[in-house]
Amino acid sequence: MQTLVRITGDRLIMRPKVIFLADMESFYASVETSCNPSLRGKPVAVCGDPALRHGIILAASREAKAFGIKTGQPAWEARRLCPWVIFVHPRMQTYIDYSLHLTRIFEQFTDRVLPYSVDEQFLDLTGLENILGSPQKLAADINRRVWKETGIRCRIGMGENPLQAKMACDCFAKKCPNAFFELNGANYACRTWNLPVSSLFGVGHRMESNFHRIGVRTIGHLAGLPREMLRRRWGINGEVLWLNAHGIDYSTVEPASIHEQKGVGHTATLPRDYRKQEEIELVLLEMSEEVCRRARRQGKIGTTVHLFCRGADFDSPTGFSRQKKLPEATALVMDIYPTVLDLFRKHWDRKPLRAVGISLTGLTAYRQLQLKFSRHCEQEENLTRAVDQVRKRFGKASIFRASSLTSGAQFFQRAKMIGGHDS
Amino acid sequence: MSKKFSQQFSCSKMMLPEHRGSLQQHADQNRWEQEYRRPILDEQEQEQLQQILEQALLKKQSIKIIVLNESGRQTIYGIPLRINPGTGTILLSTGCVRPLAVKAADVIHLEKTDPG
Repeated sequence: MQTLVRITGDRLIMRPKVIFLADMESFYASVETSCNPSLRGKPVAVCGDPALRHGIILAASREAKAFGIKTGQPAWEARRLCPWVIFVHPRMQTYIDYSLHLTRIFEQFTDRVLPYSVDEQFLDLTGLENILGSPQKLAADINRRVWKETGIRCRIGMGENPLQAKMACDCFAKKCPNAFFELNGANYACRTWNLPVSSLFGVGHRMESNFHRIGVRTIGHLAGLPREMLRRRWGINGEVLWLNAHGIDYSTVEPASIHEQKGVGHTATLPRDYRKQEEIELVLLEMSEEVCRRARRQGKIGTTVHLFCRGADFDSPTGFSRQKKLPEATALVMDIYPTVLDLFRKHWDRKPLRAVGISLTGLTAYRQLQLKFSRHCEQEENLTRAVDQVRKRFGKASIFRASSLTSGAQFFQRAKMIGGHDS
Repeated sequence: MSKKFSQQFSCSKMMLPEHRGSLQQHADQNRWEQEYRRPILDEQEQEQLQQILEQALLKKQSIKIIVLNESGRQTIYGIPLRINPGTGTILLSTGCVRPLAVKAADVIHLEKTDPG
């Protein structure tokens, strides 16, 4: 995608956009090393608590990776590969604080910064070449600033659109000694078309298998297929992947898009396999409450409830994922919970569960709520508002349902967590 | 065009609610700072504003004034009645019974609303 930059006489001069994707190397492990310099140069792995079944590697330092330790491995396997690996518990709030600090650093270069995840951020630097220097110099300046202020190594992929920047970063910059790589309209095909199709942004395991079934092994094979055929077979997703294979992307780096949210969800891996119906239903109640609280905090109400349950048996995966539309938009737990229960009782196969998740989608602003003046509803809204205020002032665990004191409840454990790990 | 074409990265963003909340707070803070940031007016601009004000006072023309004070930015429409250099205020007739006093030091923008 190109941008209009200048009108000279009657001629329009078009120049390509300059989009960066800045990705932090081994982010969680780098933050831990930055906070505790005695870890520098040692094999460090950030790992959840195995007792709570979160014992997988979330991030490994460069030194740990040299032993073959990878993200997603179980802790025991990492220990087997490197017996002297140092395990560190995740501290999610610290990582979020570092990520925000990175956003502030990037905002010193451009106001068009879009955080994509906790360790990846897009920057639109179009038109800044004359002020800040060439993109290569800019990337070096950004890297230097990030290293100086946070002690984290940053890799930068550059492109004429966010997709090219992402591909440049994921497929090349991470392996480059100078941690910078540029893809553009001219070199995209020759650089990426021989890569396996799974390297293409948007292609997951399932899509990769689908492509393998029709003989598509590389990005180039995908690019060679007719766009219409992909659209017929996989709808818009197929068409977007075809565009991605050609390096075409119409996305823009708009900071405002951070705030657009379609749904609020909450998923939890349970500390043990849950077998009893009443215990699972209690966790579902607590999670419904959390989802509603978060929707209310954003001033939103939702119209569709989605329930997801994953069975405990890894070898023969069970579970379900179902959704149901509510009679009217709401963010009150007692409006949502009956629907959650209804879905659960209808679809649960009585087998032990390992993980559950609830989400509320179809969000609209609370002020658009249809008028509903029953006394009961008004009372419940007042109560909910009071509980929200108490929690905001005194903490999440300051007020709770008595049922959260019974066995199987997860409320107190989860109150201390962010993203399923210690905050 | 489907949103998927123009917002594939917004659609696939992986962000914890706490992270989103921090970013929201950060964006609000930026917005607040921008709202309260006083623009620097050079001598020429100050002179220009002075001229507009004096002309409007003379011809009893309506003007638009943007002031920045502790309550943020406010836009006021009115006809200037008097400039009081002693108190540093501009008295404006805004259609209310009493004229409105605006601190000259708070004015960050001024323009004529009447043509001519």
